[in-house]
Amino acid sequence: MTDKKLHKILLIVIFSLITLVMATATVINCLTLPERPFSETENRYLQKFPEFNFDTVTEKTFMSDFESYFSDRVVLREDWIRLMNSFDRMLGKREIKGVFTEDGRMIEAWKSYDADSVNKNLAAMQQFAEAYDKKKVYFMLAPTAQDIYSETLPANCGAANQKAFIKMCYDSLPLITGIDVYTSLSAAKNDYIYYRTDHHWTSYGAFLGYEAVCKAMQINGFALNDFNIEHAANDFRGTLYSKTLDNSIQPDVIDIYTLATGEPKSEIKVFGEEQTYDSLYQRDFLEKKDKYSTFLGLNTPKLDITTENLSKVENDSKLLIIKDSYANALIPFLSKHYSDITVLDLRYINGTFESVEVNVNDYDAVLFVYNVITFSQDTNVSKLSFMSE
Amino acid sequence: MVFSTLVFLYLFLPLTLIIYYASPKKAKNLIILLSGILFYSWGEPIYVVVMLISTMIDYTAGLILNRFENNKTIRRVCLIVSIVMNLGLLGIFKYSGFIAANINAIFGTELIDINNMYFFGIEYLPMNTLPIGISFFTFQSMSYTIDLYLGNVKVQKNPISFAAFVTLFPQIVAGPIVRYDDVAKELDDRSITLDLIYDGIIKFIIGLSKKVIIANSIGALWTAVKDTDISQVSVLSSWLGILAFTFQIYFDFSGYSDMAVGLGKMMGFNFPKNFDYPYLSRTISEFWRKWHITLGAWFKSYVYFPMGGNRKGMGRTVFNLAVVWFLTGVWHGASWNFIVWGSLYGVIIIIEKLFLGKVLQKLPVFIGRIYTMLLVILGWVLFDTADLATAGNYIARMFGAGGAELIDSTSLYYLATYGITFIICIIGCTDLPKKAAEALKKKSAPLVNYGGIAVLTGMFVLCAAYLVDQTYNPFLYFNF
Repeated sequence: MTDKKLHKILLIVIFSLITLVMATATVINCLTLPERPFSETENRYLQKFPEFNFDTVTEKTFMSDFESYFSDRVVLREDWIRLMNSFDRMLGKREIKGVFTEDGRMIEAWKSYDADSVNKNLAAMQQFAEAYDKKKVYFMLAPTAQDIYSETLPANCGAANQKAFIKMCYDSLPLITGIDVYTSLSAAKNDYIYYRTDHHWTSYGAFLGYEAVCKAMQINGFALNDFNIEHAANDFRGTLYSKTLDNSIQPDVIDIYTLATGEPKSEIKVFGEEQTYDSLYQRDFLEKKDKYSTFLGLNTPKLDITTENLSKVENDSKLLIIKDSYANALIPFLSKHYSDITVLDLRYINGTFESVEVNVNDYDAVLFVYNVITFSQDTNVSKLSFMSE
Repeated sequence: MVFSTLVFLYLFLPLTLIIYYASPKKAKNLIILLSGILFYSWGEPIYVVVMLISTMIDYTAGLILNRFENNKTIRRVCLIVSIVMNLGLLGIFKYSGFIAANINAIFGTELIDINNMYFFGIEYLPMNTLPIGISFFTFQSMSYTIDLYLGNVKVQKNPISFAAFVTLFPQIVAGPIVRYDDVAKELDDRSITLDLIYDGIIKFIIGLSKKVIIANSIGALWTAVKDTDISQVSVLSSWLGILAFTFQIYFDFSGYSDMAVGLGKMMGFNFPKNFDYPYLSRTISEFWRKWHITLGAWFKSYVYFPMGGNRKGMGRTVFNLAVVWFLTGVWHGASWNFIVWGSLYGVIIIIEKLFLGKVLQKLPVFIGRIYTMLLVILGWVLFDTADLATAGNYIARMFGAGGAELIDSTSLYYLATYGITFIICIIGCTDLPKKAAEALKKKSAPLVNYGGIAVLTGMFVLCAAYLVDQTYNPFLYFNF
């Protein structure tokens, strides 16, 4: 055979092989995978096989769902995505699905926010503080890694200034005491304060938050060396990893801080559940993908934490916390100072305080804990304006 | 279905080709017909009926034209029925909403309820639910009856072969506009050779890469700029944005055509070329000879020439050109933007015909190219913005209106993150890669042959990667 023909046959063989191998392997995947598998890495349920009937076909949902079904089961799916992302980086793209990967760390991009919805949140909080003007109300708005490590981000990438955002929020809430955690976080930027692959702060970051809360609320807090630190997991790949699937970033460590003198006994009751838990840490999650949920478990409308044998009981012994998930790593620290803590997540509450059996007047203080990105995007904070009715 | 999906690439295509190659020669057109119906129904499960009705009418018209070879009246009626039917389908599905909206605007009332329009009892929303590819398959199938009437082609008596021509899936949704004449011989007798399959695979991989890797990547920049409030867009960003679209539409559209040509070859057909480095043109007239060639050729053969072309004096030529370019604009979509866009091209081409073309020929090549690209780029603003006002504001912004900043940090970020992609685009729309390969081939043919295979394999693998996680993979021709 002449060389003239040989290379042509070679290309045809390669093209056919790639196509047929991909096709066969993917069809085998479709037939063998469970009906609706959960992708731990991508943190979502995969598309199940769509129903085939006259309506789904004429409305074309069958076709579009089938395309998702097929592409969810394509062989080596995650490796293909990694290949695309690395090629995109080669082309100069710095941001993948809203995540920067710079200096060994993934950083969630925050470029702009809807001023209207932020103002609604702030107005609702102010209204809340007015309604309970006898209560001390505190607000800790934590910056995210994007601001603390802004110098590692590409030039001109449009990252918005979180320090200014925090100041703007605090300034517009005259009845609420703003807690400055920005200063201590940015001073500790060389320490392990944010996860490399997740959008949360680490236990140490949360500890700095705890120190800031103690200072503002005049709590006689514990010092770092009062704690034993347990490296409970060292293979945590978080929410940001789920977006980029970048394996080159070192996985994260989940640290659990316990008092060297012994932890006080806590009981955690989840709203709407019969069962109570006797630990602030749900260690089952250390074996799963979503390891941050080790701290207080999955998101839920309300948690009641009662703690006995407190070594340092403060005068304010009942605390109401209204928060996003940043607070989950912080609350274990605060639980050592309050006999009762009630934790509310407004994203999961669609009624008044009464609907979750909360009477704000029972509490000695109220603490809001949010990170900048959630607070700027979460419209649920504005529910506060009607929850007191 | 569109080519740039995993279901097409790793399910439909391998299955279809295996069955197609395995079946006997006589059955191959039937396989084309069945696969074409499946391919089209995947995107248009209801309107596939429209396509099949159009096919049947044109097939029957063909038989009648042939049967009454000497009866001019019957022949004429037959042709008119075919044309009216095809244009009627286009009118109902593509233009009725636009016309209704304009009638409402003129009378200032809701004379016609645009949201409740019925056609044979089927509710349809003409603005949103244009059957995919309707402008392509009606034009293709019309070409048969017109050519048969003019005596340019022979009748197709086999209904399966004729239906296979219309439903031939490679060209059904986004061109090229393959005329019956182009494939008449191959429909009845074609051989699928090693050379043809090899050429087809190369074309297909190049086309797929153009669409999936280049067009989608650079298109994301245009989307970002378009989604920004125009008062926040700097001069540099506005230029980068529309340049990004300039490349996106070329790589997307020519990529689709390349894929179609490639798939056609794999099945034994030679479709006409649709793009020939249009962005290297020195005049707008040349640009339109090299951009979407089959559309221009269609209008030339079936509108411009029958009207007398340029053989009836300058006045008539100008009129004929005006008609053709108005229609070209309208063909691209039912909106004033497209009408203005097409008509302006008509005006420019008339001016070039009158004197500008001769002037440009005498000037250095690069001046002609800058002149052409500038007009083409400004044209794309009209083409891809929501309405004339938006287009006007955008163009004004490109020239600094409203106190636009010349350069802002966003535009620098665009430049930094899309710079390499821009360079690839610029090189990719010239004939440099082709010339380089040809020059190298003279020195060492095996190097180019095997190196080419390595590059193509890499590109094909990369396309798979880009198809798996389709965050941005638009289909641009839903208006056509």
